[in-house]
Amino acid sequence: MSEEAERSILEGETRVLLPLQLPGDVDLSPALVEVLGRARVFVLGCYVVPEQTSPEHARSQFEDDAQASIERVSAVLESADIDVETELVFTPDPAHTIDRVSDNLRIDALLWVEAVERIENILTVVSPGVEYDRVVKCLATVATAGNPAVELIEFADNEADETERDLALDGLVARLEDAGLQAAQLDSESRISTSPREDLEEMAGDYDLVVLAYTAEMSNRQFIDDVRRRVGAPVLIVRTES
Amino acid sequence: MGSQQQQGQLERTLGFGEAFTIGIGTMIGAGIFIFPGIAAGRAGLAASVSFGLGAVVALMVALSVAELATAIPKSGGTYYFVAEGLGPAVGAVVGLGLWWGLVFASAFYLVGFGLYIDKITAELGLGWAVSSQTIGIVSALLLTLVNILGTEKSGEFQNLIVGSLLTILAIFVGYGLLDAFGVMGRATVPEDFAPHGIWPIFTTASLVFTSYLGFAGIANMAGEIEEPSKNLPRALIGSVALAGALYVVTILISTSAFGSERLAELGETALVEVGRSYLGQVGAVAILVGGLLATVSSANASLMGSSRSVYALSDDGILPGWVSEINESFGTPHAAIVSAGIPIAAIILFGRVEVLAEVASFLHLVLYGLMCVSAWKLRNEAPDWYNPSFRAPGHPVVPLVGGAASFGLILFMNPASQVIGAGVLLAAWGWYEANRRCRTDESIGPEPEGDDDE
Repeated sequence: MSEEAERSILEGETRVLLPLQLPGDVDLSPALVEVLGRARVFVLGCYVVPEQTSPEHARSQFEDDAQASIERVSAVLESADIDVETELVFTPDPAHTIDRVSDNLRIDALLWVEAVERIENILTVVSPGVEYDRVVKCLATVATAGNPAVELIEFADNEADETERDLALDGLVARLEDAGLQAAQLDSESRISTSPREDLEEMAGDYDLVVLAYTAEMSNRQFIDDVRRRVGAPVLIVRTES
Repeated sequence: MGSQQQQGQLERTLGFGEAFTIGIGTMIGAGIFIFPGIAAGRAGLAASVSFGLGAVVALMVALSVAELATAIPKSGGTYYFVAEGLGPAVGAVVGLGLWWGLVFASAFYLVGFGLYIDKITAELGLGWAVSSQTIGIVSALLLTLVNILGTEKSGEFQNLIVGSLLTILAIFVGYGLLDAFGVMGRATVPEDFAPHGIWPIFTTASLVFTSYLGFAGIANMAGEIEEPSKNLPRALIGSVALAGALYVVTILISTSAFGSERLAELGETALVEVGRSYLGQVGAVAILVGGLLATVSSANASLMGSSRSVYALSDDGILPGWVSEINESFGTPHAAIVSAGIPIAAIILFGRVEVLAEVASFLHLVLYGLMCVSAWKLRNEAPDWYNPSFRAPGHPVVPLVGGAASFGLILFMNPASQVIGAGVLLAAWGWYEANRRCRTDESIGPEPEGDDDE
């Protein structure tokens, strides 16, 4: 990445996309609203249309309901003085829509909403070789309100390059401190794991928010969906590759 | 990103590959797996010319359809293509005709599916005597149910089916070509090119035209295709060209392997025997599997296409509004799906394979012919709203010849099919007239395109 591009990611507002799967109601917990306080939020209503129905047909019947669902969410954010924009898309393929809109709007992270009472600790999963710029930027946005504990964990599949990994992790901690997080908030660990996904799902139960740095393995949409469903906490997926 | 008042966007998710697959999946169906025996019996080796003629007509129609679809990218497009060019009455008649055309097509595919199931049970020696009609009816009801429940990501499944089909046909054709040129060291059956003369070539062309039905279904999804000005024409023309080439070669090699008389004796599942003669049991099984996949995927595509036409008609007041209502639990237009599924099951009960196929072709050919006329007229009159991003080459020859050829093929059908087809159109016209007179607000038919705010 060029130095200029790096600067443009780090500078400026953090752009968070809030995908809503419609039809269906979304309850945006006050704790999440608080976390989003410093972000610019884009609410994307994805009205999922089965193959048997033309999106045009679904729009003619469900537009009003769908707009109302989106407005309910955006009203909650607006009342907390958060900058919100909304968009409604009728789509047979929500994954495709989310990717397209994320690219168009230069989104930094996607927040999958889940009911949560308070956010006291955040589990952040990083992988070797990931660009950390957006991870730093997003954590600096979501982890400064209320000073939640931030656990950084890296799953490696073998012992090799351990020193290098530790160094990289220490570097990330240092960058987070530079970005405004307290040293006392931060903890980091590198773990050997043959099944990072199972380990993640198991650990996540103890945390109020899970932050995933998007990697190539996750480009499999099923992976994200599965993790999201099993984790039981809100998941913030940081886009590291665009 | 817009304000809350802005209309919801419609995602375009179909690239060239998906659109092409829809065309191929709809077209390659019962036609090629059912007709070789019947066609060779009627026209001899020249049946390949019949399939070729069908391809040429379909290509000319495809060019006009591509132009119209880029100018009028609406769901249920084919109905609007005619209504915008030739007026609401003609539009309503062909729209209702297409609904039934797809019903007849789907019924034909499902009878073919039944014949293939029959053949498989015979092959396995199960001694299981369920008529192909019963199997067809049960499958029609099952497909209706599955579609009402709604499917997600069935596109991937469809890709798998079409991929397997093309692989089976490619192996079949490759092997057959080597065989026909004597590489396999087996004698081929020499024969006259057109043993029964010229006339059967045309009657056969009108019969086998069913093998090309469905390419216009791509245009019905114009609103969902990415970069439509590029992908629509390519998918339309590419899928017709590939299907046509496969058909012509399949007929040539099947006939050269067995001779047209023997092929005719083998009847509707003749292709299975050709497969067996190339690769033994494996060849027979491959063709049987291909036949099953092809017929059921075409039947399903036609059922969905039919329900989309019903939606367009209901949206324009030609059918009652409740028909297009979407089910809140499943997200699918259940009434529109049933309006296609039940008639399919019903006509399987009464129909013969050849009549079902020809009536389906009849109703489609009327639509195809009128779409060509509409494309020709709109290009000449060039109303302000008519800005196709793809302009078909060869104007005015292509639309006029394509239209004339479409109507021409109808003349070669057997009288029973012509009577039933004309009856359906007449009933459609009667329905439209009765409906129009019952209304005082005259809100029937599409909004003039110029007034459309989209």
